[in-house]
Amino acid sequence: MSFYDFLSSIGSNGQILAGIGAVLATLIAGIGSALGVGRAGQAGAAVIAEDPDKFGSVLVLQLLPGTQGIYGLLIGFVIASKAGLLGGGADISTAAGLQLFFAALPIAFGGLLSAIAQGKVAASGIAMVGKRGEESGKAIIFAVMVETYAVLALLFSFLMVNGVAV
Amino acid sequence: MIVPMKRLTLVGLKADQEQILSALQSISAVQLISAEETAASEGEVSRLEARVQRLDNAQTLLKPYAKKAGMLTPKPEVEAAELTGGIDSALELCGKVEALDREIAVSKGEAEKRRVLADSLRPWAEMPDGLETIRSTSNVRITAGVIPAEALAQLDSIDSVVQVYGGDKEKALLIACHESDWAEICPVIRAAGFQDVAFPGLTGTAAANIARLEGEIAELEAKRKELTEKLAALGANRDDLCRALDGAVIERDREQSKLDLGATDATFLLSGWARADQTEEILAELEKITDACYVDFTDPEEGDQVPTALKNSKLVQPYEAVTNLYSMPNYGSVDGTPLMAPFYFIFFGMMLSDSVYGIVLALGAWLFLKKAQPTGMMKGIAGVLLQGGISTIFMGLLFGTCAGVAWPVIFQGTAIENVFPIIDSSSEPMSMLVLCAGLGLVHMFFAMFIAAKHCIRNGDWVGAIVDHLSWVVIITGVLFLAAPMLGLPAIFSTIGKVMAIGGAAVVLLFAGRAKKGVAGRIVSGAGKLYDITSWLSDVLSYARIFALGLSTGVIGLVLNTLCWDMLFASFKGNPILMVVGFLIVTALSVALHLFMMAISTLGCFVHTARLQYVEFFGKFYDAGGKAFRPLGYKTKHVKVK
Repeated sequence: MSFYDFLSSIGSNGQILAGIGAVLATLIAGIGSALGVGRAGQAGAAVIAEDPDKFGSVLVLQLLPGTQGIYGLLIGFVIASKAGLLGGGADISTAAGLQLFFAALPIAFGGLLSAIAQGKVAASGIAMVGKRGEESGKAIIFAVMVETYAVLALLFSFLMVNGVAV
Repeated sequence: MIVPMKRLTLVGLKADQEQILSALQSISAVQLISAEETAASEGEVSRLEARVQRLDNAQTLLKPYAKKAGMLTPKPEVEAAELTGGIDSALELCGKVEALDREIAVSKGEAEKRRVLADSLRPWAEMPDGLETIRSTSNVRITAGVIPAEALAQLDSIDSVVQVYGGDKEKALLIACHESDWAEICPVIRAAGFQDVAFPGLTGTAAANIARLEGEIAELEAKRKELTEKLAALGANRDDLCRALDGAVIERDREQSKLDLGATDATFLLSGWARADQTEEILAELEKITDACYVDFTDPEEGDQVPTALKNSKLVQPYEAVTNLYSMPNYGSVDGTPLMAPFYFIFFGMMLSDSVYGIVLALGAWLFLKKAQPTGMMKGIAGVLLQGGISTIFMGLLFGTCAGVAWPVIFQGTAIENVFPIIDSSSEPMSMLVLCAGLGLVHMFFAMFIAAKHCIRNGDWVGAIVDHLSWVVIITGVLFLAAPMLGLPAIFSTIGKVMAIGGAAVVLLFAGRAKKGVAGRIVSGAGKLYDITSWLSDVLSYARIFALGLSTGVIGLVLNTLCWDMLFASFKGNPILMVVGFLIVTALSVALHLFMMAISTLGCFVHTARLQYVEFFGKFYDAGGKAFRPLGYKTKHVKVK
């Protein structure tokens, strides 16, 4: 019995697969953001202890790795609504469910790893702001460079979800 | 645009030096260039610097006790003389603050010292005898110390009298043994973790000592509280300190500038950079003081490190903040600000793409500009957000939503029900992607034209054609190649083929023109041709416009679904709950939307900036200029009139 047959044999399960995808997108990308924002926040506290006036620019840097979690939630929501999980829609085919599951992976893992990497860049950027407050713009740009790949992952996940026929 | 600069040379009488510097500082028009031989007054500068530090420390100390200025309160406007005049009285106040701070630190330290001592005495509290009685005689050795409670059992084996006192974790021990046994006992108790304790200068029981120390601690705490209250009472005067601080900074900067002056016994020489459009003002200001000085303005020479000042129309000016976040352009190159401003405007709107967010953002930024009257970077960013908000209102209508609600829902039943949005990114993602890529190409072609124009202005026609325009031809050709897919006549694709191959040939043959030999030239040209991959990735980079626009819209939709379709719907049926629920859900959804708007705005601001910095500036911009920083009033707390 192939994996696909196995899935089909569980019965009505397109929604289950899509649900797993939605959960993964939200959960894994969310973990990445939590780690990234957390790391940047620690670096931020160290700088604020020395110079509370820099709170504004440090906060901006800390927030940057937070977007991946939002992207994950976004894809999770789109999948859930497409699979009829929000408010009793009709069930979808196993094939469609599997497609939605895979569509969740780019933002799940792209989000996870880019948020962690972005958190590191943001933390270094915050340390830089501690030494040279006037250069905070450049620190922000460094962090945004990483974010590009989360945006691409979001985009592709969305295009895939959009392309699934249910 | 970049303001032309002039080099100012001024020779004046020493007697007028202070006045002339004051005048130049007040109009903030000259950036001094260090003379090789200076009239050193380092000592005076460090005295003034120390004064700045003192005032700064004192105002920081008082910060928690001073009234907080609201976000929307503009800085007060003050005459420069008023600032410097208050320095002496402020220094007196500063002395008081410093003394209080010192006393607070001392009482804190004393209390801490007593707390540590009391803690160390606590295990001994049960001992009935005075601490001074712990004393060895000529034959009996008495040792006092502490040991971890769990190690107590290890001492059972030693041959001595042991008296145990104290708490759960730490036991206090008195060990009495014959002097000759000590050598045997010592390693055993050390191995168990025994630590000697001594009570120098303490008399009476431990319990009495603890009580005395606690009394003293309470006294010290009370004293500290009293001192802190005194310090807090001075908090009302922090404004005076801040103003004096600004005044002291002005005086220090002026003294510092003297280090840059050349001097003889009777005259001084000042050289510096001034904006060409401010020369009249400088001359007028000098005339007011004296006519016994020599002033000359000359054009910068080759090799001079000329600072850069930007001047733009009122509409474009806020975007200078975006340029400054990247880097100033080199003097003599192109100012990218007015060139990128229209693109910034459009891209920002397309990314945020929610008309209601646009209205809120524009209103918020306008209010901030109006009420708080910020200066410098903050003013620029607020101006960009104001314009970005206006752009968002329109772009939201064209491509986006209205507080997360789709336009067809809002216009339901009207004639324009199906008109807006022009492109719905969630149902027609490919059209939106193509639009973003198209805008990106326009953006980057424009950058190529700017670079080509700059080359031509410097007489480098070949560079303009080979390095810049040929790429426009190649990319356009590649696009034409795809024409049949859109149902256009096949002739387009033939034209496209010719353009792409022709452009590529030009790059291949001439891009390596600096290299010697045919082979080296071709290899270098082929390397340049490889840049086609970076064009591909640059175009894809504009997909972020679509992605961010989509994210604003879908997150808005998520919030609305959560708040209204799920939470509010659960109150249905019970009229009282529905009224209460309506109020709560309204407040909740407004708060959530504002929060998401703030995050999205941050994202849109930085992603739009990135498109300018990497994709646009990367193609023509000559970064690394030094900003023009004239001698002026660098005040933090007030605005000088």
